[in-house]
Parts: sequence; structure tokens; C-alpha cells
Amino acid sequence: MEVGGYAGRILNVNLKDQEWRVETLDLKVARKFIGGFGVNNWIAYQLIKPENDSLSPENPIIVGAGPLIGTMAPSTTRVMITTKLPINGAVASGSGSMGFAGMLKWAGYDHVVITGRAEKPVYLKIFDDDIEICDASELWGKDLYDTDDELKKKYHGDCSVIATGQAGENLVRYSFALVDKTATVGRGGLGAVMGSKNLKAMVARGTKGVKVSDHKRFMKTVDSMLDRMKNYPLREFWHQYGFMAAWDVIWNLYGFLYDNWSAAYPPEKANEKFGKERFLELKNRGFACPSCPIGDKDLLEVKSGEFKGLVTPTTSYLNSLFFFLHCEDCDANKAVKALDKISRYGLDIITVGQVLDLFIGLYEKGKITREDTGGLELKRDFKSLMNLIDKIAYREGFGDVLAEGMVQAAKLLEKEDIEKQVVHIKNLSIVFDPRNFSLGSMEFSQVVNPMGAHVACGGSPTYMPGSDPEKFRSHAQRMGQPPEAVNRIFTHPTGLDIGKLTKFGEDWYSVLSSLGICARGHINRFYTINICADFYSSATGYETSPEELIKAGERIWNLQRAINVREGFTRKDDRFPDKWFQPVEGDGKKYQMMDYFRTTVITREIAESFLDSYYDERGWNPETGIPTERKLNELGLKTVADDLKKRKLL
Amino acid sequence: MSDNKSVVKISVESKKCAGCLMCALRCSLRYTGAFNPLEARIRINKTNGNEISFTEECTKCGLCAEYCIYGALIAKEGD
Repeated sequence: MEVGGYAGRILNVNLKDQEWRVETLDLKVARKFIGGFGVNNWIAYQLIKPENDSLSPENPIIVGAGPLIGTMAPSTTRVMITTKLPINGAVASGSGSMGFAGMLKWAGYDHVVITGRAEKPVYLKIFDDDIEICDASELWGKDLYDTDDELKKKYHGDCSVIATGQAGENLVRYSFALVDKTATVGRGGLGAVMGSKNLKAMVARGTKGVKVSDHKRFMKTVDSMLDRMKNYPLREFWHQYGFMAAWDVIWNLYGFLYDNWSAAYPPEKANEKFGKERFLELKNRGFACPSCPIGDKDLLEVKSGEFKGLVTPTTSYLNSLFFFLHCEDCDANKAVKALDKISRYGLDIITVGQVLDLFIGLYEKGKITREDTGGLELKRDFKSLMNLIDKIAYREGFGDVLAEGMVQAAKLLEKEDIEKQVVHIKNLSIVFDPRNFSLGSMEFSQVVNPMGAHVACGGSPTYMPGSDPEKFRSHAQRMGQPPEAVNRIFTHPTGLDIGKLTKFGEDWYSVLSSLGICARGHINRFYTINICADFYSSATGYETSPEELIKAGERIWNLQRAINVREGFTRKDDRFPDKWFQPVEGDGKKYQMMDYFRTTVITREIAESFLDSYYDERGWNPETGIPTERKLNELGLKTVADDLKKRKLL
Repeated sequence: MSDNKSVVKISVESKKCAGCLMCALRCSLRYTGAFNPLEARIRINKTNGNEISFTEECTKCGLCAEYCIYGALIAKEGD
């Protein structure tokens, strides 16, 4: 049998010594942890030590591309990048779509591990066996888009680039990277980790290709999936609108909280100034990641006004909402201009929006003054906000404080009570507030994710609260849960156990991320655990059952948790923000954290009961949130259990 | 989907191309035995939009068009 799917090689790069070597991928490890996200975590477990700071040369950047990447399995492009994050010290994985992971596989690598710090700015070139640590002096100081453009011009377009901008160079703790100027990767400071290594970018091109073990069987599954996806009635809708396909639900049902999550933004105003009509005016065209039949990415073009002619690619126009809500004289054009500027710097717009909102709000309320801001007046008008973003990216004046992130900035200001105002989970700004509609798995998963407030693994039918709970049965079974496990999600007094449901979603996410499948719910909805197992088996040649595959997903999530236990994280860090328990009223609507059926107000006690349930389903110690020795052994992670015991953490 | 090798005419509308590379992936599987789009007989240049071209080795088998989801490639019977 010829092993396929895997390229079979890991590229190890030491920037300090300007050396690289190729290592053979241990296929026993690959089978145990699938690939991509899973193998990244196994490498991280070996390399990332609690005593090493996120910005130290020792902190590795671990890039992974799963065994389905580079093939025609639909929507399999996700590059996973694992590192210790500067925002909170968690060992976590960002993921981004577009072309890099495919190029890496076609070049003959499953993973790249980058350590050390280059003496001067460099970029890493990976063109098949032609590996080069190249001088990036000319690129340093340039923004992310220009860096991407210059590298593609230099290498005639047939390549993929992961780059960061000035914010990464200046070690802003919420800087990230973009794949091909589009796909965000590494919220929580990957950009700063790259900056700390003097690594401006990575560029990859591959012409070796990816083989699968049984291509007839593999293509049969591809064809079957493509038929279903092509005939999906909403496919055109998603292609046209991207995430804005959900806009009507968002503004009609969910609403918007702003002013540090304590006031309601008028939904009608948001719809008029930012909604679908504005989006369609701005949309130039949609585009797709390699192998994706949905193609929900947006190329935006401002067609009038001050910023006429601005063209910017994005994973979603909806991202710019995180700026729009906090800017008092904003319109859609300005929001897109802000998205472009923030992305060029290599900044995360979700966090930037909340940093600006929080500290301007504190200034407006007199909690901080010009004395704290170095004489700067903090205002919400577009011009002032753009000025503040410049200061953050370059760490100028008060921007140097804000560049530390919300929690650390609040500490630096040394003002009583300010720190308590920060809405965050493990120092990461939240993405979804359950008071908008209900505490679903998307909202809850932010609390327990080792990374902090991260949403990629929370997708479930809880998007639409109150509808027929029976749909959770098919959803959970699709994710590989047996009927008796599915029954358990209906045993909570509120009628739906969000904690247990989240556990199932996380294991499923681990499988998807390790294989390389898209995290977006409207795309991975075409996958089931059976299809995943079939693809994995025919690609690699290792016949693997759905049960074995979802067990591997559970193993990977436990490993990730154990790594972070070693870093000092426990149940105390899985903390619901206090604000979530405080209702907000506005525009005739009450924003209050409710259960799925919207009949029960979620109190702290109920919220904690979901946490208990989550740990129970995980088989973890409910007091500490640490995986038990029994669970780790059951999953074949005895060495990890022994390590935690040796450190007196078990 | 078929795996026949009859010659077809392929009409190209690059504007509709979303850049998914399914055409090049399928082509490369047939002609190189691996998923390897940069070695395919159809090329998608993403430098300025998505420009579609064919290499001299292209036999007009039409397999790329069968796998084009966005309507950028349409195969018609004939030479």
C-alpha cells in the first residue's frame, strides 16, 4: 500500500543559525493525531515550555497542513499555526484559509517548525526543495498588503504568502497575519511572534503534488460531495453574500451591543448604514479558496466619496462591523477603509474595535484623563479613531499602552476598577455576546476554549434559538456522537445542555482542523464523520473508522488542554464575563442572557452548571478543569499524564 | 462524472472564475497522477483577477470544465 495524503516531511527552520533541515513525519504520530491541528499540538507539546515567553526566540511557530489539503476534497485549505500567544500566554492554534496550506503540501511538507530569532529581517521561502531564509530589509516597515504584493510580483504570482504588517513588527499583542491578504490567522498575537523573530513573511510554492492512496475511491466521494454542494439551493446565496447572508437574522433578531457591551446600537440604523444594500454597493466580486465550491470571500471596492477606488479583499465584509459600531460618524465606506487600514497593519479588527471602544468609553466617563493618555483626547469620530489605530500599530504615545491589549493596558493605567470593566475571556476580546439572543454553543465555547474567546469550534443549530431541538440529534450524529451521548444533551434542567454540546463540537472541530476542512458551518455542513473517515482512509491508505477518527479528535482536544494546564490554565480561567449577567435595554428590546429556548434567564449558577456539565462530559476534574489521569490514559496520552503528574498538576 | 477523453470545445469566461482551482486539480490528477495544479494543463493566474489559459499539452478533454463549479468553463461537443 502506498501511503498518500501526507507529504511525509517536516521542515525545521532555525532563524538564529540560518539553518534548516527536513525531518521525516512519524506516521505513527500522524495517525494518532491525524495531521494539521493535531500534529501541531503534538509538536507544541514537545517544544513549548512554560518557562519560555511568547516573544522569546524559543517560542516556535508551528505551521500545519492536514492530509486532505492539496486534494480535491471540497473546502480543504486550512493552514493551522500553533504558538504561545502574546496576548495571554496560551498555547493555541490560529487557522487561515486561502492558498498557503495547499502550496506547502504541493511543495512536499506537512509541517514547518520555525524557531530562533534572525539577526535582521527575513522572510522564509519554501519552493519545493529550494528553501531559503531571505533578506527582508526592503520589506520591513511595509504594510502587509504591500509585502504580499511585492513577494508575488517577485515570484510571478504562482505562490502563496503569509505576512504580517507593522503591528507585528512592533510586537502589538493582538497583531496577526493574513494568508494572501485575505484569510486571518493567529488572533492573539501571531504577528508579534513573527515580529519577535524578525520574520516578515513566509512564501510557498509547490510543484511536487499530493497523491492519494486510492484515487478512484477518493474521487467517488469527491464527486458525490460536489453533486450535493452544487445542488445546494443556498449555494449561490452564500457565494453572493458571504457571511452577510446571515445579516437579516443578525440585525432583526440578534441586535448589537456596544459602548463596552453596555448599550444597544439601534438595529435600524445599523441596517441602513451598514446592511445588505450597502454591502452590494461595495461588493466587487466573490472569490474562493482552493477546492471550495461555495466561494464566500469578498473583494470590496469603494465606489464613491473620499475613499473611491479603494479595493480590499476580506474573509467577510461583516468583519468591518467591529469598527463600524464604535465610530460615531461611520458609514459603510469608512468601515471598509478602516478594515483595509487595520488589515494592512496586521491588526485584528475584532480586538482593535473593542480596545478603542473600551478606552474611549472610560475617557468619556472620566475614568481616565489626558494625564493617562499623554495629552491625547479620545474621541469616537472616524478621524480620531484612525489616528489612534496608527498610534497602536507603531506603539506611539498612548498607543504603546493600548498595544498591550485590553487587560494589560488597564493594569498599566493603575486605576481602580478599570480592570474590572474589561470584557474578555483569557484576555481575548469576545466575539459573540449571549445577551444578543441566547447562550448557544458559539457563545459558550468562547469560555472554555484554551485559546480564550474564540468561536471556530462552537457552530451548531443554537444559531437559531428556540427551534425544534430534535435537529440536535442529527447534528450530533453527523459529528460522530453515538445515540446515548446525544441523549445526554437533553438532560439539563433548561432542556438543552450547552456544555455537553460544546464538547461534541470541539472534538468535531479537532477532526476538521486536523484534516484541513473549513471551519465555516455553512461549508462543513456537507461533511459527516463518515465522509471524513472515508476521505481519510482513501487518501492515506490507513483504513480508519468514524469512531477512531472522532476519538482522535477528542485526544487532540485533551492534548491541547493538557499543554495549557502545563502553562498554568485551569477552571479559574474558564470564566464567564461579569457583563454577560447584566441586562441591557434599548430600542424596546431587552438584551439578557437566556437559555436556548429563551424561557430561562441564565444566572451565574446555571452558567456554572453548564461548565460542570462540560467537564463531566469531558471526563475532567470538575474542580480544576484538568483532564484526569484516567481520561488521558484512555486516550493513549500516558506520557502526557505522567508529565502532568511529575509537575504535580494531576 | 465521466472520465472520457473525447475532444471538446471549451468556452472560457474568466470573469466568472472564483479561483477554486478544481479544474487544475482534476486535470493534474488525470495527467500527472497527483493533485498538482501548477503542473496542470490549465493554468489560473491570480495576479490580476483570475485569468484562465491552457498549456500546449492540453488535449481539450474537457475534464476541467466538468469540474468548474462557477460557470467559467463550459465544454461543448465538437472540435
